[in-house]
Amino acid sequence: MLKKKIKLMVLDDERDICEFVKALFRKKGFSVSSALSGNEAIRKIKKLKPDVALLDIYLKKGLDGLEALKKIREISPLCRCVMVTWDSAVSKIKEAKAMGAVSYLVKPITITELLRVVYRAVSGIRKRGK
Amino acid sequence: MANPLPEEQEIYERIKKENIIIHPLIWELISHHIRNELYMINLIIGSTVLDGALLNEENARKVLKHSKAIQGFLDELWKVTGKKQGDK
Repeated sequence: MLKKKIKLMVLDDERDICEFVKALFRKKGFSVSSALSGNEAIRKIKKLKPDVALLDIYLKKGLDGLEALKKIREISPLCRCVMVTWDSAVSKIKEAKAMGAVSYLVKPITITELLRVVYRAVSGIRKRGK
Repeated sequence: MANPLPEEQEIYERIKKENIIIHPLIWELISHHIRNELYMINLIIGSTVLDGALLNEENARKVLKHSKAIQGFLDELWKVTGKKQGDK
């Protein structure tokens, strides 16, 4: 279990995915919120200031994940953003990293991989806090 | 994992030798649909395995839903791309 509750934001337009990821990380002691669109994520991030955000890139409507990433870097620069997408194009990965994403996961991801990457992002926060 | 076709290795070799490629638009569709559905299935099954719990009916239905979505996508893709020699 984590010492202090880490705040996680999940952005994915697939409701089932949001629900499962939320349940998974809540069991691990995180405080988790989710959004089904980029615009909803930005609204919630302004208010909740999450430590880590899992951002899907391709969304049905509104801001896409990369646009959301850009805004998050402006409004909550300490938030560590992990991109989650089906797109394995090297150019997309480079673009996301250049915009400040700490990791880039290509679906389908296993739970073990998802946990490993989020814990790595969390360890970055803890190191920063020392 | 499905058993490989008897001539599967030869098929791969032929694809490589003849430089047979899939159009990027088709790859985009495949990646989007298959990878998203598999991610969901991974989450459902993975969370069950992690908890050591039995797969409940609700989640089993979700796995079926996402499996059917893969099947539906492949059917759709076949309709628009799957003409073989001799097909009308």
